[in-house]
Amino acid sequence: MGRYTLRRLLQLIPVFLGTTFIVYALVWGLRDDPFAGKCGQRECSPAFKAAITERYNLDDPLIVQYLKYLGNVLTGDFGQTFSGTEVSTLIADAYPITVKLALIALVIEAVIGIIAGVVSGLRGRGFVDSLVLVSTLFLIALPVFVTGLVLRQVLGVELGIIRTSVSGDPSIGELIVPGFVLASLSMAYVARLTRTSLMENTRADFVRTAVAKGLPRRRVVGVHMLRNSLIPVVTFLGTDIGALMGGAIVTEGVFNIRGIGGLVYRGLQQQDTATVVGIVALLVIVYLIANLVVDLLYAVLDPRIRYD
Amino acid sequence: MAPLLEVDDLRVEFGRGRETASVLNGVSYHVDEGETLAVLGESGSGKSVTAQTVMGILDTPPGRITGGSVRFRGEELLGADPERRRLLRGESMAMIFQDALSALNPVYSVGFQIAEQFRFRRGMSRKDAMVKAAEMLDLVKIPNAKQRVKEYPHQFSGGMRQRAMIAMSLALDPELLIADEPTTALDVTVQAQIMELLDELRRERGMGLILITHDLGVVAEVADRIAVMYAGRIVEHTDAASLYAHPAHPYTRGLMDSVPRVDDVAGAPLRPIPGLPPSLSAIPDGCPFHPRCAHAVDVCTDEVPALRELGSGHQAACHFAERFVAEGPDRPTTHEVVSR
Ligand SMILES: Nc1ncnc2c1ncn2[C@@H]1O[C@H](COP(=O)(O)OP(=O)(O)OP(=O)(O)O)[C@@H](O)[C@H]1O
Ligand SMILES: [Mg+2]
Repeated sequence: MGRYTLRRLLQLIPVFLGTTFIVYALVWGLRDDPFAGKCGQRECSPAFKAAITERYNLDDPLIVQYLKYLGNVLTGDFGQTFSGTEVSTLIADAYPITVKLALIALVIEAVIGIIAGVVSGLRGRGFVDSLVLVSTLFLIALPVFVTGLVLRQVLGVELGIIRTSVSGDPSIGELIVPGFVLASLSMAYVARLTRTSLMENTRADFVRTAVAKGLPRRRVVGVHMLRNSLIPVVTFLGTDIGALMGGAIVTEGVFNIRGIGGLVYRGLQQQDTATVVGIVALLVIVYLIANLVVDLLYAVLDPRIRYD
Repeated sequence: MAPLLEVDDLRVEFGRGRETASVLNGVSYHVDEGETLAVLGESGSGKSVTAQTVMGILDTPPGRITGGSVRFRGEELLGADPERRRLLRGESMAMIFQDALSALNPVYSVGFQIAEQFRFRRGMSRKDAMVKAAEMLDLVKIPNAKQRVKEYPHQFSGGMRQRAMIAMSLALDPELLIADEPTTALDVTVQAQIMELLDELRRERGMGLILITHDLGVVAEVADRIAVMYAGRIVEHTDAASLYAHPAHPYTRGLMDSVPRVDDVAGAPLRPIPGLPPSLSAIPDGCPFHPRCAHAVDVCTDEVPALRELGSGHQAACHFAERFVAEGPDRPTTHEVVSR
C-alpha cells in the first residue's frame, strides 16, 4: 500500500504540470497581444507595458515563462494581479469559503442521498420509492442555477428566511441553502446509486447466509447489506469533491458568495493570468488528492482490492 | 417421539396468474436425530426451495407457501412468529450453501463472519468471539486457524471456503444441518474430504443431516435414507441399500443408469434420461414423469400416482412400483460392483 501511494503521488506530478501548463498557455500565450483590452479603451502606457513584461517575463518563450512562474508558485509566491494585489492573499480569502461550501454540499448530498436511497431500496416498490425516484428525476432535470435562483427567490426574497447574499465570512448556517443547491444534482445521483446498489445486494447469496445464521434483521441490513452497497457510493462521493469545488462557481454567483468562483470569473474577464492559473492549479491538486484518497479508501472498504 | 424434522405435503409456488410455477407439489420427508437423509433429483426439482422453506429463508415474494407443514421437534414452523424462527436458525437448524464463495461476504474476514453468531446470539465480546471462531476453524481442520481467522474469503481455497462455511453453520451447535450440494463447486478429491468431514461431524454431534446432492456415489456411502425428487414431489423414498437393490421408480432407475461407471467399456455411450423435466407452470396431467417414461401406459397419463408404501419403509409414486421392485435394477450399480 505504501509503495502504491508513493507511485500514485509521483503520478500526480506530470498531471499537475500538464494541466497547469495548458491553462497557463491558454490564458497568456495564445494571444498575439497580451495587452489587448487590458487598459480599457486606451492603449496601455509604455511604462505599464514594460512593468508587466518584466513582472511576467513576457519576453521569454512561453515554456520559460511558465517554468519561471511554476518556480515561484512552488516557493509559495503566486504572483500579483495587474492591479498589484497578491494573488495568494486573494486565494487565502476566497478558498476557505469555497472549501466550506463544497464540504457542506458534500455532507448534505451524502446524508440525504444515502438515507433516501436506503429507505427506497429497502422498502421496494411503493410510495416512498416512487417519491424518491420522481424527486431525484426532478433534481437531475433542473439546471443548478434554476434550482438556485428559485430557492433564493422563494426563501430569500418572498419568505425572508435566508439572506439573498451571504456575508463576506459566511457561517455554516448561511451556507446551508447554497450548499443544498450545489449538492442537489449529485444528491439525486447518490440516492439512485444507493438504491440500485442496495437492491442488487438484497438478493445476494451472502445476505441469505447472514439471514440463515439467525442474525437480527438490523444486523443483516446494517452490516451485510449496507457495507457492500456503499462501496460505489463512496467512490462517487470522493470524486465529487473536485466537481463540487468547480461547480461552486455557479452557486456562488447566485448567492453572491465571495469564493473562488467569483475570483476565477473576474480573473477570466480581466484576463488576469496569475489569478486564474493559481486557482486552477489549486483545484487540480484538490481533485487529484481526492481521487487518490478515494482509491485508497476503496481498498479499505473492499479487501479484495489490493494495491502493491 | 416426534422426529427431529418433519416436512408434510409442502406446497410452494412462484409467480402469479398463468405464469404461476408450482415448484413444490406436496413434498414430505422426515429426518431423525443423528441420521442422514439424502435428497436426490435433477436440477430444478425443488431441492433447494424445500430446504429454504424449512430454514425460513425463502424469498417471499416471489415465492409463496400455499400449503403443508414443517415441524421441528413437533413444533409447527409455517406461520410461526418470525422472531421465533430466527432464533431457531443457527441454533437448532443451520444450512451450508452450494457456492461458498458467493455465500460468504467478501468484505468481512472469515473469522468476523463466524464470530458474529457468538456475538449476537451468545452475547460474547468481540475478542472472545474471535477466539471461538478460530476454534471453529480448527474443528473443521483448517491449518493455522489462529492466523487464517483474520483472512478474507478470497484468500481461501475453494475447499477451505467450504470448510469455513461448515464451521460457520456449526457455530451454535445445531441439531439439524442442511447441506445444499456442499461439494458441487469442488474438485473430486476435495469433495471426498469435505464429505468425510461432514459425516464425521454429524456422528460426533449426533446431528440430523439433510444432504442435497446430484451425486449417487456420495449418497451410497453416507446416506441412511434417500428421497428422490421429481418436479416438486418425492417420487421414491427408502433406505440406501434397498434403493440400489430394488429401485421402484423409473425415474430413479434412469438416474442410476445415467451415471457413467468404472466398469463401462471405454467409449460406451452415456445413457441420459430422455427428454427434459416438465415446465413447472405446465406440469402434465397424470404422472409428471410419464412423458419421459419408457414404460408409460394409459393409466400414467390419467392418474397421479400417490407415494405409497411398498413394505419395510420403501415408498414410491409409480403405478407399477411393485413390478420394478421385483425386477431389480436394469444393471448393477457401481455401488454394488464395488461392494461385491
Ligand atoms: N427466487 C425464485 N424465483 C423464481 N423461481 C424460483 C426461485 N427460486 C427457485 N425458483 C424455481 O424453483 C424451481 C426449483 O428450484 P430449486 O432451486 O429448488 O431447484 P434444485 O432442485 O435445488 O436445483 P439445483 O440442483 O439446480 O440446485 C426452479 O424451477 C426454479 O426456477
Ligand atoms: Mg439447488
